[in-house]
Amino acid sequence: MKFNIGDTTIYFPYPYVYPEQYEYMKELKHALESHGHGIIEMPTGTGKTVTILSFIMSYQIAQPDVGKLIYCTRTVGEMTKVMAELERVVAYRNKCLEEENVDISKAKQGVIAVGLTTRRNLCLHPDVSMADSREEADSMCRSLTASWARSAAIERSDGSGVCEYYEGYRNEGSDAVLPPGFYDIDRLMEFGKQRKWCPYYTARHALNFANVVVYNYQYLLDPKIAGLISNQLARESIVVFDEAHNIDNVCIDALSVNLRKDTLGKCNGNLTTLSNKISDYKARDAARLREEYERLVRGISTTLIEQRTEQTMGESGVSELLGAPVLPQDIVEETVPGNIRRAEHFISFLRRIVEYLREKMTIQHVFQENPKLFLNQMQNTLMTDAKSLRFCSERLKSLVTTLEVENLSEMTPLQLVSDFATLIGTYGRSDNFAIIFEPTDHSGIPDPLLQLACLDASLGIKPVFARFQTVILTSGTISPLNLYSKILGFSPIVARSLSMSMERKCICPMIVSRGPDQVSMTSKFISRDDLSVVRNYGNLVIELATHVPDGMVVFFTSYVYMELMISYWDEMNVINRILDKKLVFIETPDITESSLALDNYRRACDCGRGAVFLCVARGKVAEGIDFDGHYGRAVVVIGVPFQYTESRVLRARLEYMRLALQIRESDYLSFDAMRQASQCIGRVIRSKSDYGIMVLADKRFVRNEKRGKLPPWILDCLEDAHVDMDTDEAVGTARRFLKDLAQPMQKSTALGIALLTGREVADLESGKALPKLSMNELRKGVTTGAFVE
Amino acid sequence: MSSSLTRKAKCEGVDGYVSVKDDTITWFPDKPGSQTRKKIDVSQITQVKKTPDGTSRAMIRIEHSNGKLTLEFVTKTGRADFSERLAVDDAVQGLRKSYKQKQIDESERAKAAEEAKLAPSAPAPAAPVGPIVPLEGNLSAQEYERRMEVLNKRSDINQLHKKLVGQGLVRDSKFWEFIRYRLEDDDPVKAQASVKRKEVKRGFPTAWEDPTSSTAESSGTGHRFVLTAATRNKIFAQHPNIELAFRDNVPKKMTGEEFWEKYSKSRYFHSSRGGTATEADKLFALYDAQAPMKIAQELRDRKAGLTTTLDLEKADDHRVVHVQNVHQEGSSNIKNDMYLPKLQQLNRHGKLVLDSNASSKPSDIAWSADEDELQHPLPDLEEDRNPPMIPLKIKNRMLFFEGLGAQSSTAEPSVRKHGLDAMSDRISSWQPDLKRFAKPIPASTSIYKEVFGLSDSAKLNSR
Repeated sequence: MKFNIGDTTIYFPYPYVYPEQYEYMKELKHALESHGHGIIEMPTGTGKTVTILSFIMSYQIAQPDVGKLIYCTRTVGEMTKVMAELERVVAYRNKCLEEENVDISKAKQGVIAVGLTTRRNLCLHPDVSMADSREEADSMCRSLTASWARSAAIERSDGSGVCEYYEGYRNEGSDAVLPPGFYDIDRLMEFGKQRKWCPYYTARHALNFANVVVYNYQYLLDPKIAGLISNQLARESIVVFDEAHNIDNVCIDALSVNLRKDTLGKCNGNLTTLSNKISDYKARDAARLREEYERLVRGISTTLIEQRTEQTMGESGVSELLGAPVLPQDIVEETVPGNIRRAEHFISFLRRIVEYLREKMTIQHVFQENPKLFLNQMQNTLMTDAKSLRFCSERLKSLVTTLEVENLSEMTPLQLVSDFATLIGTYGRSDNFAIIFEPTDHSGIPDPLLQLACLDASLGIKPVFARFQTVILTSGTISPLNLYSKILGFSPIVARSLSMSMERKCICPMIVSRGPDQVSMTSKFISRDDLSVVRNYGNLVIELATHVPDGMVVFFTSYVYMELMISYWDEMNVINRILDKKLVFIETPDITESSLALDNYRRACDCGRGAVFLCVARGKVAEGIDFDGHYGRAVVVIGVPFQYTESRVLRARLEYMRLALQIRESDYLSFDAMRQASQCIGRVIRSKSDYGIMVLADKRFVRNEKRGKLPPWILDCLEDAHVDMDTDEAVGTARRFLKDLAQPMQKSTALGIALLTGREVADLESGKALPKLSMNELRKGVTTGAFVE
Repeated sequence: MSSSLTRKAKCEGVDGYVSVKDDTITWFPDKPGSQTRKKIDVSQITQVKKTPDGTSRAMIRIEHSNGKLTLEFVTKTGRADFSERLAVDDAVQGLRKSYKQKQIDESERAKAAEEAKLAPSAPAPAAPVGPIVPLEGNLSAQEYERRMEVLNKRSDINQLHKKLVGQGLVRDSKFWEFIRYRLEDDDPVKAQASVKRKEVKRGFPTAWEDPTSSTAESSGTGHRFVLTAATRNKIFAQHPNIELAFRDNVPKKMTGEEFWEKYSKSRYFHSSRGGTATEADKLFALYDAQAPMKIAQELRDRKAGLTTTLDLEKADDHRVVHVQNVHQEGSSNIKNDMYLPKLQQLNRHGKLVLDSNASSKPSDIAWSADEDELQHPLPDLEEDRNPPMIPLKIKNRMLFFEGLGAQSSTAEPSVRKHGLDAMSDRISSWQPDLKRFAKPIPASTSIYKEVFGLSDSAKLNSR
């Protein structure tokens, strides 16, 4: 369908549009025209992605000076979905334009969309693609693609020691422009196989000229990677962070470093390796080290060298190293200090840092220090200044390049220490960081851990807001919006939480606080071993498994809690009773095992047996897997998924937020727990034709300060009678709900209320209001299906 | 056994060193002449006190009969050094312990000598069989007696002792350290306890360990294992290698019954007898060896078949290096996860059930849910379309009837199969005989004869 929002024609690839989608587009238009940032919440299953894509693809036609779309997602699976949706949107848009005979340039019609992910996911080399970790794959790739490795291979002239796909890309692909298309992982791999081009480097090259870029948040938020990947993106680009409810944690992680005692132990090995290499180079190729020294004296940074090498020789290799972990505005444009210019001096400097940190970690008690104090002590003891510390990451990068170190994954410990030094050297004078040392883990087992924790989430995202003119944060669960924008430190032009228009109540949220014996259910630490609570939770799952058809998902607050509950349930025969009704699959710390369990769960649902999937909030499954349709007819959240409140880093962050942002600790903890809970229950519904039961099983959910933080679209459906239920009431309600919702859905009843045609959108544009149904009418509609006038 | 230790320590604010050596604790100043050397004999020590760990100063106070010696330990940077204090404290405590042990030994020896003097008329004890090789010194009286007793009673250990210690291959203390395990194994009570200990795993019900134990029947003539479908499933869930062997051999090389017979012989009959490996043992030994590799390969194959949306490993997790493994209660890792085997077993159980049911294989499902979701993410926004349908037909009637029969758990599988076979054959071969209905209605006896082919006597018996 086509409709207008103001003077912009929107090409929407469906015959109907939801009212909230229309509202969303209006907000987007406002943000784009004001060149400001926005934060918009819209329920899961109401088509956020298609709304954003169809609006921006249409807006690009109306306003040709708008830059490319940078769509940031959370997982690779979501990236694939975005690409599929984009293809549909663009195909429809181009078809309409052809019909209208609109004169637009061919470049605009032929959209190039690229999805970028790690090279491990985008590798065709038989050995590298089998690497166990991302670091290992990066390191193996570097040993095949670095300039010196390639030179050595040319000298050998036997073709070994290089990657044929990378060579193919260098020979043909590095100057080529990709044909228009939608390059997700599978297509990039297919394209790479056909052309013999490395898919990863092809995708990176394509970022420069693609109209749409889809990648992970970290490519923009983590300064180490952003400097490498996203430094060429224009200011006019439109940045969208989808599923942005966890973005504050990503920002904080990007600027934090943890050091363990064994990391420091391995650093000594790294330093010895580098020392030996330096001695070796001195003996056979001293000119190389001299050249590096002179370059540093002249103040030419490694980044500049990379650019020059790229331009003059068409070589790469240097730029494959991650950058310094500091924000772009804090990068020092000065020469490297004299005391670390010589390779051997730098090695001894690093050795002193390692020794200093090691001595710090012999302390037997927990301490939390202001970074200013820590930096002062460090400077005094090491007889150095902050500037030398700031240059550590950059200097290490230069040295590793000069010495042609191949196995970079082995150098990770030293890289961590140099990142630590750079961060403390750069941000040691600010109050946004904390140094926390813990000699033991939570169970008292000695495991010294020194943490440089970033406390301010706004630090990481500030450069993104400053660099791009429009940044949109969107998710189904980021209420309350004002709190979130406060945490991220920006003033949005648009801040809106949209509700869900429904012709039938397709979700049934319930808060179950008591078991059939009226004993309260809670995941509080003191009640975890209370057998009556464990039994009541078990009963709830058994009862729901008995009455809910197909798939059912149960979320626990943590792995430890889930394992504890399963072991109790096993002893109490609960597991066997669930097995009588449905198969049981469980998310485990082993990712492969969990993926296969998930696959088997879906098989069980497909073949009609039905299954229960037990998993954890904040886990991989909770963050990236949808349980739509028959894969999830009910979702149960057992307990309130609070963060681990004994964590000292969390405490430090809470204190910082209280002092700097005036956010109360309890407010933040509740906000965080409820956004996780909302994420979990939101997994069950992916479109309005879908339906599902949402059970929050903990007495603490009844309290208003928790319940009130649920997104408005869930709160709208939460009836007063469903707020404080026991198991029997909940099961009865679930049975009635499932019986009603399983009836065929009549599209005609939704027209004009939950589905709009082009004419109705035009009416809205001209100022007419839509009819709105009350909750009673909604309930009535479920059973009778007749409430349209 | 004496050990020496020297550490830097302050005494009354003066830098110096403390040395723990040869039953004495000595402190001497860093610069000679600044303060006098202090020496304490271990016999003089009355009490050792320390400041609590984590306080601002790491101190130790050794109180002795002539006064006290207070030492403070600091690092180069001037901070309290608890690790050094711990080392000195350990050395002092070790010294006191060995001193006390010596005193006890001496008193016991004196007591024994006195007793020997008091009983001169007692018959002289028989000369011990061994050892020819002398035992090492510094042993308590009880330990000495225990070792002598072992050497006198156990000729094999005595010989081993002569061979290893006598020829200087192993030190006496090491010999006794390692022989302990053999002695424990030979002790029937302890051996049984250790086997039990090995079997019990936390988070793992013992019933799952040996599924056949609950179904074993003993009688005068022998031992009979009843392997029901549930028991077999448990065996498969517990031992992936057996499942692998079953899939490879049944029905290509042997029948199911033969397989389970071999399994029982190998695992329960021959396992208790030792001796030579039978044909059954060889069959399973092969799979025991190859199973880990084959299972890993199978996992890889299955993972390769996963769609991008389901593969959790395909992630862009860049933060793992910088902030990994924070100390958190909720975090868990594979190595230390004691409940992981239980969780894996439940997942495996589900997989086995699905694999055993042909209708749940992905290839049999006419459409892929993932593809459909990618192509039609919002079905209610589209015009009504015909949803893909799975053709409703029974491909294999045996499978269908077995599926029905599986719901009744009481009947034995073979009995059930036989009954269902007969019933399905009757149904498929039934042809309406219209001519028969044209005849006049016969008497009830002739109906029995005609329809079931029964004689009159059989009819009467059945009545």
